[in-house]
Amino acid sequence: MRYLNRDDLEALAFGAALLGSGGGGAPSYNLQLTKQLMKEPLPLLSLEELEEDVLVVPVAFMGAPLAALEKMPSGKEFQAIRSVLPEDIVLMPAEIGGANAFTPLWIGALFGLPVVDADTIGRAFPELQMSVCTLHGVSASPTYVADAMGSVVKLELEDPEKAARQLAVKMGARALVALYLMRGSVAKKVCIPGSITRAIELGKQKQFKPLFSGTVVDVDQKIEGGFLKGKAKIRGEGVMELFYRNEYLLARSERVIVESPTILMLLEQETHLPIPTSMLKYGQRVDLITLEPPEVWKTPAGLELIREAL
Amino acid sequence: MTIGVDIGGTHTDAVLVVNEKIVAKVKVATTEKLEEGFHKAVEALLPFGPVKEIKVGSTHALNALLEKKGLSRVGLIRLAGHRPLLAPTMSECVTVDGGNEFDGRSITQLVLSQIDEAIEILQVEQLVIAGAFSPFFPEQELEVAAYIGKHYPHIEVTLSHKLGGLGMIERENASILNGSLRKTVREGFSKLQRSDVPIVLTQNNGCTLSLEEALEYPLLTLATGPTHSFIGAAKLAGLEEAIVIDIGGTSTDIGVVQRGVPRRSLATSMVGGIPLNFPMPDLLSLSVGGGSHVSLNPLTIGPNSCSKHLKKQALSFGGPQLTLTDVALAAGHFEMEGATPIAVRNVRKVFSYLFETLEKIVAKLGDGPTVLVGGGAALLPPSGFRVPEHYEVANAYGAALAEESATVDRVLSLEQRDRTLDLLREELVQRLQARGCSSITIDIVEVTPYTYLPGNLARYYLSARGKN
Repeated sequence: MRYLNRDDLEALAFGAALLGSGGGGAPSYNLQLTKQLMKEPLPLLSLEELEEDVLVVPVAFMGAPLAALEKMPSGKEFQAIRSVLPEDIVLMPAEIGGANAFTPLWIGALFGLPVVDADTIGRAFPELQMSVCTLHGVSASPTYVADAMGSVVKLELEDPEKAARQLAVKMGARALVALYLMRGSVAKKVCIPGSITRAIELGKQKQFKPLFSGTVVDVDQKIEGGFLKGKAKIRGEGVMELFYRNEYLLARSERVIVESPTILMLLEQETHLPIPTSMLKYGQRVDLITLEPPEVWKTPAGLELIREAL
Repeated sequence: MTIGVDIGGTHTDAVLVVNEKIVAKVKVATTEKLEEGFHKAVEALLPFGPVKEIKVGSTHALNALLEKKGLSRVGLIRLAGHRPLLAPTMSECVTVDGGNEFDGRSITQLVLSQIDEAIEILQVEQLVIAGAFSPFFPEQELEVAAYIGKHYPHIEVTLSHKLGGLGMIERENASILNGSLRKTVREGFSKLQRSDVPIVLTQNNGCTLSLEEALEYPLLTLATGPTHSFIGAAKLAGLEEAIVIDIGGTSTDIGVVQRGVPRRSLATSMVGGIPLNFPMPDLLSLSVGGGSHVSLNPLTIGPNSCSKHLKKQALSFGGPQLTLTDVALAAGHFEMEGATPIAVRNVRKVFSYLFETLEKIVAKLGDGPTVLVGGGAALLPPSGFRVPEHYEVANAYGAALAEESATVDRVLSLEQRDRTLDLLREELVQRLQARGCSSITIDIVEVTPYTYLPGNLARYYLSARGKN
């Protein structure tokens, strides 16, 4: 078993933001909270090390990323969920891309629970069912949704996305979700291994070869069905059009086309900080970079499941 | 006639302006007590005519923060009934009931007796009140302020919703800095007042701020230095769009002017390493100025500087240190009272290195004419950069040009976006007209959609300015 050190957290924040492909929320507050709560290194289990019977609990916050800036977590969200679960559990990030990479870490530090170095997406996607668990037939029932005052709702639905999202809004556009709870034996077969380690390694890599560099000259966006949908133009050597729906989905110029599930990310040129879609603005000077997604999203079944997000 | 004053770390500059033209100017040393240099500069200009108003930009607040001088201890009361785990790093904090959800519901009801307990625990004279979602729903913060004003008249309160948008931590940081600055800024600013001519301060967006507002929210004056030099430089050069390089004694600020106003930073603003979330000009700073230490082999300029002690430490004044000023004197670019130029080898190499560095940064910012201003501009040989007349007081001139401003920052539906924008524009125009302004322009319109929320909501931020 390895341990996650405080020294790795900054790199994790950067790497997780990259894997967020522009969505998944900004990790800054979660990073600060994890630093505050993690007094000692946190046990990090690989999938191989998992006991067959242990209950793996993937966790993530859902809601509006902007609400996360005002309604910060209280810890009572997880307390509420834990009170209805058995004793022997381990945590896992449901989604490694964006702020949710840290969700199991600060919870693990606060409640003394180990975390599994894996996740169920390998990047960020906008809806709960866009998970390798769906592809492998892991049941989404029951899903637990909890708020910062310590209320918890148990959903016994095979497709809980809509109900969970409505609940999250009622809970202040901020709710902790635990879903696709599974035994260790299942997690070993299903989950994407080494996600936290991959994010840290990505975060430590300082240089990325940009696919395109330029200045944002146009941002045209609107909300459609609760999602931020838009198109940006970046002018450099030629013009690159960038389409997004919470995450960056497609980049197109005269010469190249790159599209999801490939992970697309913009970095601010001077600071090298990632720019999530919600922070995209006219005049920003940016580098567009791409990262390989987990193989599973390139398979026909994978592509079919995430079609909605494309 | 208007007098514009810039109180910088080294110099206090003042200009007398009529119809946007400089008719007189003066430069004096900034004094330990700000008002001495200020009144000296103002009094040198007053005899030239009836002055309607004095507009003052000052880096006093910024310097106090950077030098950590005279800062007060601040306590934070958080209104957040769910009691967030994340603690503020900059001050002691007590969390009480209250706070709002994104849609205006209370997280829990405010309980004023908890404010008494918090004050008892914190024991400070400067308090910050910060409520969840207060930028959209400021009522609870205002209620607490009224309560404290009534029961604890000796305690001063900074309300977080006045200092930034969403982002609890950044807003708290800004408010805590503001509270810590109040006392020292009051000591610095309140003696600037004169019986003969009214004064106003200027704020980060280049517009005016009443003295009372400046004393209450000194953080709003933090970035006036570069803002004014950028505005002043573009106007002196007769340009609406320009890249501006302002070379001072210890540092150089480089920024972009679009439609006559400095481009705002899109990144989170950092002041002294602390993230804040209110608009600051987009600028790049270099630790290069007239006082910068120069070494020839290998060639480096800065980051160390003689700053205020140039006339004691520089070689041309008999000191031990080779500075950029010495190199410029050796090259014969200008003369300086009391200086004996010394011979410096490779003078040209120093300046071509400096120009290369500047051009690299300018190219990053965009293309278009580049204007060079600031006291340090005299050091450089003629170049492709424009050096306008009065370049050395661009800062004070920018202050003299400061207009009145008004902003709205509200969460409204995205349905009928254009109509909503029209109504908000109209509201801004009316507010400025009520203050006697004309030539009103709307210079910022931002609509930030809120994803994942019902009701198709967005944050509308508009800002307007007008001449009074």
